Amino acid sequence: VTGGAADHPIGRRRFLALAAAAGFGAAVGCSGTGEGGADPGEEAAERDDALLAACAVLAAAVSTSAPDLTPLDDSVLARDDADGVRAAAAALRDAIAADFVAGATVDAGGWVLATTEARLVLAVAA
Amino acid sequence: MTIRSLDELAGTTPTPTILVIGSGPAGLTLALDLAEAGLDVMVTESGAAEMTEAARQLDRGEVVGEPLRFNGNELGTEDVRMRVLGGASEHWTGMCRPLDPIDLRARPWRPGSGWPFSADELEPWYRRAEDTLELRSGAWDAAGWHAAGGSTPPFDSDVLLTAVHQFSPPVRFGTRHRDALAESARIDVVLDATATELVTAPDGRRVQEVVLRSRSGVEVVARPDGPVVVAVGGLETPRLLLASRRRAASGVANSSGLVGVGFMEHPHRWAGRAHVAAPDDLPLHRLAPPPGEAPPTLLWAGWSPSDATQEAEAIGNGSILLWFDGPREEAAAVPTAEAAAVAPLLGAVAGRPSTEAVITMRVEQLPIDTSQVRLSSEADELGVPRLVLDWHVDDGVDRAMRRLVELLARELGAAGIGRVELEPQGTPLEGWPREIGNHPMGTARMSADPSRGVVDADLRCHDVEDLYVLGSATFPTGGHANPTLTVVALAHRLAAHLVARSRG
Repeated sequence: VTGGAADHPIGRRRFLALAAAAGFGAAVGCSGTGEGGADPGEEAAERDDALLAACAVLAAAVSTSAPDLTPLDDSVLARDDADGVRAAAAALRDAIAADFVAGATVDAGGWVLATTEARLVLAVAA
Repeated sequence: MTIRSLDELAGTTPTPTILVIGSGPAGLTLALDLAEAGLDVMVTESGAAEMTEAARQLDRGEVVGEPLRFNGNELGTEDVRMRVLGGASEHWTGMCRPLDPIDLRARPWRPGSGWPFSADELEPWYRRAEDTLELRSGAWDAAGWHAAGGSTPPFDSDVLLTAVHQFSPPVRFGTRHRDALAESARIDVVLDATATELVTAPDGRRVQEVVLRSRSGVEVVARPDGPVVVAVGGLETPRLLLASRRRAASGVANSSGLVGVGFMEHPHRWAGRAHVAAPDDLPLHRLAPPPGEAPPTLLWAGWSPSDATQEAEAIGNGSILLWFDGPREEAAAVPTAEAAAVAPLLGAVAGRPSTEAVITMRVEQLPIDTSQVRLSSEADELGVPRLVLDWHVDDGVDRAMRRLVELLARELGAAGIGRVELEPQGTPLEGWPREIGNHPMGTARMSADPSRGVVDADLRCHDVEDLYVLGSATFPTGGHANPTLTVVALAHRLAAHLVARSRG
């Protein structure tokens, strides 16, 4: 997975950094220690592939159920440094929660996603 | 007095002071209270001390409406009742919950709603019933859940409220009280005694005779010297009233034409999946109180729409629970590749790993006229017409179920702890089978208005002054709660009424 910021409104690399900042890496035990002797780098690559595959699946569904929805633009990730990514992750979490409270949700192939989430996957899969 | 079979009464004409037909939780709770108050009671039970296939065959009937699905199986009418000392309590899981106050209110958006009394009237009787069923007193909400050591997610209580279900040990009334019944000086239990007909006086205002038959062919006609209480459940109650046609073709207590009309169940569905972050921190399912707590009741928390949500959405009450214990029939079949791929993304967004739970929901249905219990042209071996169960639900049932899941999705998302998959494997929520709860209700509904109900607020039949109906048959509407706790509460309440009546 080598997609970069130049290829997408939110580049895959940035999205993966965002996911890591949001706790994904720690949550699934991919912090570099590996499990069962598996190669940590390989695990991380598999995880990233799964994440991007998920985005593709969801984006396809969102495109059908909400064809007018636009991808999240690049301003979400103004900076590429760690602090910037953490701040963006926090802002995304807040925006997603606010969407749910407001009932701003999108049917993504049966999944109930916040509009911001749906726009995020559109951006990643673009 | 003793526990004996009807055959031992052959050739006699019993004249019970109070006759209770049915020995389930309703009938036995009532009888035990009456005996404690010094009144003599005869309790008749169609079954024996243990379940028998012969007794079960008396329950065979026709299902012509919605199928009766339960735990993934399609049931017959003989599978949803129990003719045995203790009735359905001999087989129940013990799941209990009181009705919510809104369930008893007349709600403009719920045609047919409105009990003839408020929740305040039931409150003291619920406390009695909790004791009878060995439940934690009053532990039905978030506070009760917290007191038992549970935690609750930060849901908006204006939208969804924590609804706690408790599991009775379970109390099996026949097993539990058999010795006490056998030793009671006041209670006379007669087994293998099926009430096949109620015969009123010519003016229809009093029960003159109750015809009892055994499977060996013995017929005994009881001539009650006081009240007769029909406590045989939501299906047998209308069957007995409708089959008692000696004075009127429409049966006994049926001038309203409502006996058997408005049959209700608790429509259930196991559909959709919730992916919940860190469920260990959110014991949302089956919480056992700390060791040493008594009674050792198991609790299960879910959520119900708030009163404001029900009104705003124009839906009935309901509850939604999460089942973390692994696959549960079709709804929990192996996730699709898409679901497996999406779940990590949701974990990423939530910032924590997620665990999958199957969503189970149940909602209140309305007492619609097309949903009925009728009599078949075929009779059972005792000569009683078999029943025809023609169950239907109103259009609001599926809508309420969908809204409940959508609201859960909203609250899980807003709290940042999970996401909901509404259409596992591409099947819409409404495409998953609708099941029953084994909670037949509404076939002899309660109303202060004789044209709108079979019994009054005291459970006395409007048409027959010494005939009472006790049980879920009398529920005007059924909320979403398992009915046994309310049935037992009503039994304690009716006992107090009959005691007061006996004392003039």
